[in-house]
Amino acid sequence: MENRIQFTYWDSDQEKELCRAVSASNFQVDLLIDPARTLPDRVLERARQAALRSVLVRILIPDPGLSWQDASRTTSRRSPLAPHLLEGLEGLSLASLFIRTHRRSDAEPYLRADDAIYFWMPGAPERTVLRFDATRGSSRIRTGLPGYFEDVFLQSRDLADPESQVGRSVRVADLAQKILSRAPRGDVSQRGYELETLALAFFKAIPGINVMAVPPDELGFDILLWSELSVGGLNAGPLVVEVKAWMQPIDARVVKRLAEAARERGIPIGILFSFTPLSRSGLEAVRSEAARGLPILLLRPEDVVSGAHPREILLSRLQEAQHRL
Amino acid sequence: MTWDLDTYRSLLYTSMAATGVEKGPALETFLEYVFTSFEGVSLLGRDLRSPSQELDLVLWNDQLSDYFRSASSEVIIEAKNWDAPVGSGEVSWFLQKLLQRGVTHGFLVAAHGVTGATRDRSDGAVDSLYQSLQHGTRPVVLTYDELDVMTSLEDLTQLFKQKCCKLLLKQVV
Repeated sequence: MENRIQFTYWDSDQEKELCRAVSASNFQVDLLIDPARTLPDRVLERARQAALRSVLVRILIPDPGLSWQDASRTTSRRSPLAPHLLEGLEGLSLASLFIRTHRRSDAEPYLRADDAIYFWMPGAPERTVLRFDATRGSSRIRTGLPGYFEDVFLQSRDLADPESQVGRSVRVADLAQKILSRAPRGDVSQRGYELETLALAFFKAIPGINVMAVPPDELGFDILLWSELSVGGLNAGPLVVEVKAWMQPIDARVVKRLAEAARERGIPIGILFSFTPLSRSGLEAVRSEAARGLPILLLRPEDVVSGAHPREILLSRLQEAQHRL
Repeated sequence: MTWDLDTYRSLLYTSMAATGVEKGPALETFLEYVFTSFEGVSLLGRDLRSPSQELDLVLWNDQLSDYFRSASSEVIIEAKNWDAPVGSGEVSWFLQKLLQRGVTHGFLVAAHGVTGATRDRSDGAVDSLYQSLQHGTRPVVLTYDELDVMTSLEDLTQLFKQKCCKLLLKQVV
């Protein structure tokens, strides 16, 4: 389970590899871009989707004087931002101009979930990054620095790279709203991907819960968590989450499959993350599993949109499940 | 006991270098130091023998520190300072000990791993370890190579969790 993966993009054939790298990464992907190549929109889209999944995408461009082979071998060499290379990234060319005019050529660009570009300013106060929102255009540049800076919550303990002190201001409720509004239009795989992204962001927002893996399909669950919490019916240890992006209610098969996966591993709680509620058979299956000592919780984007803290939402669902035991 | 990296490494390397009859005790001494450095974990006994079993290290767990919060009051450590990987028979016997004593968290420290650790997932040792999960046990296999790169108790805690998760994912441990 990698916390950080470096992905070197130089060829359109690598898109599948990029997708795999993004899927496998628990936290950060370093995207090293060949300055001689044009970055296709779909690669950028993948990078944005990674940002949606709370994966930090750091954009690295090698020094102009460095050969591509040398650049591929090292991760620490990166150039000041080169606007003409990055025109595909919304607003990045404008942002880079802004950075240069304010003599911050060492600023590191990151893509984030809200599609804005965040720049970590190495010399700046710890809790400050520069957020550049391309939709507001050039007028922002003229208003000066104070209009751009935002306080961002830091979760440096989760970061594989101790030098990467970029904050994680993914607002889970906003993400849930965005995903809910898109869900009816998307195809099932896109819905699944986005719902999984929301689930990951939800659990990552809970202090004491760590995402350990997003395993392959055949295991019966989509996310493996480790809880350090022992509170409200939750015991420290592993938890399994099944993400279901169906547009029809969740039936007994899904509940039983998750329960089986949990029971087989001695995991005391299963969590369903779904757009839709349980069907009648699904509800009966949950009751049946509860009677056998295995609570199955259901979490939905609507729960998250409320704005309540994910920890409170989870504990509240746990309490409900405990009452069923 | 207060953790100290120099002491950790000194005991580890002593264990690695030990020969003959000294190998077992050296590894046990190292492991006693490692595990009793965790808050709330203390030694109940070493080389405890009953008519049917021998337990290398038995620890008492006050359930205070992170990884051990959900563990049983007893934690068992099996030390195999062998020159070769440990076979599936030994692994199964270790798992039996956990089950018989109602112990959830056990550590099999096999200096050179378990047999078939680099082969496919249907290997007996890994399969036995996986099957034991349904009983609520959390067996962890540790090797010298893994222990050698640890620099703190936090590193060790992360290692335990990662090994546990690999097993939950039916991956090679």
